[in-house]
Amino acid sequence: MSLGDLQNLTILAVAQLGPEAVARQVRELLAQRVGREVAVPTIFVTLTRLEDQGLLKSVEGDHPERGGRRRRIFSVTEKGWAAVQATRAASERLWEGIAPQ
Amino acid sequence: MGRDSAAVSDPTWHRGRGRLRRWLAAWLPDTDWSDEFFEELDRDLARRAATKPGLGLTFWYLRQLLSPSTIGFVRASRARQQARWHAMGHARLATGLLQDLRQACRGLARDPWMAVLVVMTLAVGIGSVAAMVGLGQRLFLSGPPHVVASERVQRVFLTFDDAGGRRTSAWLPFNTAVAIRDSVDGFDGAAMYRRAEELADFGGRVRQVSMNAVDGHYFAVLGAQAAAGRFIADDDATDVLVLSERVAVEEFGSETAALGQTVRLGEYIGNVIGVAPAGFAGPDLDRVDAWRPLDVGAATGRNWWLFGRLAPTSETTRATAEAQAIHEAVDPGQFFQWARKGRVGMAGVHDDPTGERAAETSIAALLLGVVALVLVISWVNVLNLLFARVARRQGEVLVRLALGIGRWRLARLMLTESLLLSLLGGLASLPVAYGEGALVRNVLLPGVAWESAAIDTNLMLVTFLAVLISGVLLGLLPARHAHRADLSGGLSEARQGPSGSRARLQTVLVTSQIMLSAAMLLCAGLFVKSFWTMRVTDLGVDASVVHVANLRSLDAALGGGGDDEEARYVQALNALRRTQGGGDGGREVALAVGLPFITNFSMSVHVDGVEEIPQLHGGGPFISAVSGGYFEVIGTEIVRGEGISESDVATGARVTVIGESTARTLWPASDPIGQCARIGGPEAACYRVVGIAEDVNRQGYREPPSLQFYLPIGSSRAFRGPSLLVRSTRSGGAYESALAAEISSAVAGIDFIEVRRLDTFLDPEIRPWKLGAVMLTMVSALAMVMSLAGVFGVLSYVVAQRRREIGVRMALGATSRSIRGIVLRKGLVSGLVGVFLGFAAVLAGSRALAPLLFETGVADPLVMTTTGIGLVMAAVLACLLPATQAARVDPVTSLRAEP
Repeated sequence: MSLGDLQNLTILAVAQLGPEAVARQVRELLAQRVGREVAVPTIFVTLTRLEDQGLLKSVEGDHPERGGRRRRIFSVTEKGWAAVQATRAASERLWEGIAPQ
Repeated sequence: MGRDSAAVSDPTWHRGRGRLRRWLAAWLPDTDWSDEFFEELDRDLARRAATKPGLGLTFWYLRQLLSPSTIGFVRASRARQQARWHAMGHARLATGLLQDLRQACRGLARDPWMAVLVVMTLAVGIGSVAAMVGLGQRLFLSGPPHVVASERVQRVFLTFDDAGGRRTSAWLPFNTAVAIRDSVDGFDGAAMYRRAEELADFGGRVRQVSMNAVDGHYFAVLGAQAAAGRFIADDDATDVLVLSERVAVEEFGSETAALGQTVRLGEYIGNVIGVAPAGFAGPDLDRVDAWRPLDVGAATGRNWWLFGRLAPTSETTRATAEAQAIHEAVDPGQFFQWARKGRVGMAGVHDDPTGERAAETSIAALLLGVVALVLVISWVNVLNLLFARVARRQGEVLVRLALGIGRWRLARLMLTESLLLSLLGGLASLPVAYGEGALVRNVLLPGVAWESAAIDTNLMLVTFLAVLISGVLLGLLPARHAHRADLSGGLSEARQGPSGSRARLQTVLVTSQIMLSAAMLLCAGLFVKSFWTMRVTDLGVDASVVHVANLRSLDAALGGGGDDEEARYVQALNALRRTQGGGDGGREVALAVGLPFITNFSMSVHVDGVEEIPQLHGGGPFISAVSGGYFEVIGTEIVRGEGISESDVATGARVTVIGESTARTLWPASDPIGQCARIGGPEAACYRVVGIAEDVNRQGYREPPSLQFYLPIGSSRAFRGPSLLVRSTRSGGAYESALAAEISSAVAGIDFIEVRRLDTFLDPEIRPWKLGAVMLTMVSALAMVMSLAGVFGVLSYVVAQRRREIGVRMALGATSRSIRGIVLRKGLVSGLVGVFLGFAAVLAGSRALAPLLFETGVADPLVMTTTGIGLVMAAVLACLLPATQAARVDPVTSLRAEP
């Protein structure tokens, strides 16, 4: 399975965040570390679709902040790992033989 | 966070954000993480809005900030949820319905005023119909309660054709009644009875009861079953009694406790052998409290009511022909020769005992029709509101369609919404139905025997049916509209206002509403005028200020004290005269035997030199024996000569006062004063005419003149059982009981006193008109308010939709005045056309309406002008606010507001 750029980045962000992988954190991580501003609905749509495809799974989390709402915490499934690794491998294979500019 | 809170402290932000959220919620399925989504969206919007200080953070601004991907999220969420429903298989429909319901609730909550208006409108419509069906059920839809196959039960009566037209009498002489009862083969059985008010003694508690003396066939012919014990049968001895459920419970606590008790009914003493089921009143409408077997000894000298049950193979015509043959063959007896001139007639039990359709029944049928109209008006009104709402929600509908909602699903959503509205309307209608039902029962038809409470299962069933019909009817049209919504066409329409066809439909709806309410208002006006005409009819007596006291004692009823009774009345008269001026500044009291509307005595009158005195259509000669001061107390004017004086009574003078028509009829050529009338027959003593009084109605409101004579009380032994009359402008329950208390403390040996205003004896006659006037006025006023709310709502909506057009007109030079004129004209035209059509409809139905009115024509100019002008003016008033709104449109804003 080949992943889109945003999908790939989202799975990696979820993996990076571990138990803190909620929608807001994923969005903020992408903004800070990759410099990619993603609209709120977009991140929700992306997370939803990845879950539908079986690349991510989610559980109802506890209250991470006092008075905060219940949030959905995402984690990467086996299939998700396979997908990001396949994407990475594909990308690396293409990088091979390209001289650094 | 600092910048966030700057935005959050702005109240506009809070409002805009709330609206935005509701706006989104309407489209977004309620998924487990929509909350989280909203929260994130909120934060993001707050942050972005705060970077642009100075701009109003309104809903519209916030909405602009939403990226197209929001719509993407909404669409994805919906797809996801639909996939889940598919996966759930069977549970899908239920979840879908639940979802619809939730959506419908949300939709209504967003438009609360519309919802309240619709629910109230439906409540009035449904409630009125339910109440009237309850009324109609008792009066004419179903037969008398507990009577088996009542459509086969026929009343027998006599009709007389004379110069004054057709007249019917429910009374049959004993011989005739018995012969018809026992010999008509067309009947499976027949029974005779008569009704009387009697004083009843329930072990020391004395009350007046309405009693039927019945023969042994009465209960069997009706097919009724006793609630406890048994009914009177053919072989019963004359010491048995059947009580109504109401009296049994009130006097003995329960139906079974009443069995075996001894009750005295006037001179009759009986043991209770049975209790009738609740609401049972035989074939009649009015309440009956007790039934006793008729006393054959006394029965032969009286007239009776008769009814029979048609044999399975028989028809009314056959039974009538047989009865007529029997009537012609039987000698009615010495005192009943009048009956020979009559022909036998038969009619069903929905008709009153005289075989004429009871006025209550006709008016109840009219009312049922009218409230059905109210329901239609409320439907039209609600349809108007829903159409306006669909148009307002055009954008939303289109977004839903764009998001991939199925058209059928959308239609279903609309249907759910209208069903929900109808259901709420149905719930709200129950108090309306109860209120109207209670009003009719307690105030307008107090004497009717009601079988059940004002709200019963039947009424609930009617309400439920009305709710269902309303829901489907009101859902189908908007749903059909939504179903046919066209993306591109719809978008342009949403911008430009209603298309021609829908605008026309709305105009038609509004006009038809006004038409229906005009028709109803005109009917109401006619009934009010009838009622009023009746109230101000000159009866010849001041019935509204004269109180009649009925003093009764059980001993007198037992036959022991005829003279005692006279003495008691004289004692009461004197007691009241002594306290004259005590309470109400000069009390006028008098005694009379034979009072209009209560008791009429008739005797043969002979005038020397005249073979047989002529008859008048009003009947008579009616003879009253009166005390001095009678004419002043009762308010009958002496037009010539003088009245009966105290000294006439004291000396036992043989003098008489006659009515004007009597004077004209008996002495057309000469002066009646000083003439001699032999009251009682050719050999009776001569009563010298001393005065002429104005004609007095003897029986009711509608009546031709009759022969009338007044004698001094005590001058003839034939006149016994006086009534005590008190003239007072005061009235009401408190005054009447005070008067009763005063009399009973002054006079010995009274077991029961009833003080009633004279005009209450006329209530049964005036009742149908009162019912019609009150109910029609109430219902048509409601209908008018509803129609005007409809006019107002539609015009406001049209103005809102045509804001841009109005802006363009104004930009092109139209003045506020001319714009206001356009809107007002629209309302005025609808109003005028509606009123015209409504009146035309009433005139077309005048044949049916005319018999229900009292001395009022259907095309009564006063009523027509008043209701017409009133309605048109009210319609113009309802247009005034939308017109002013339209005139205030600022062309610059209105043109800028729309893309």
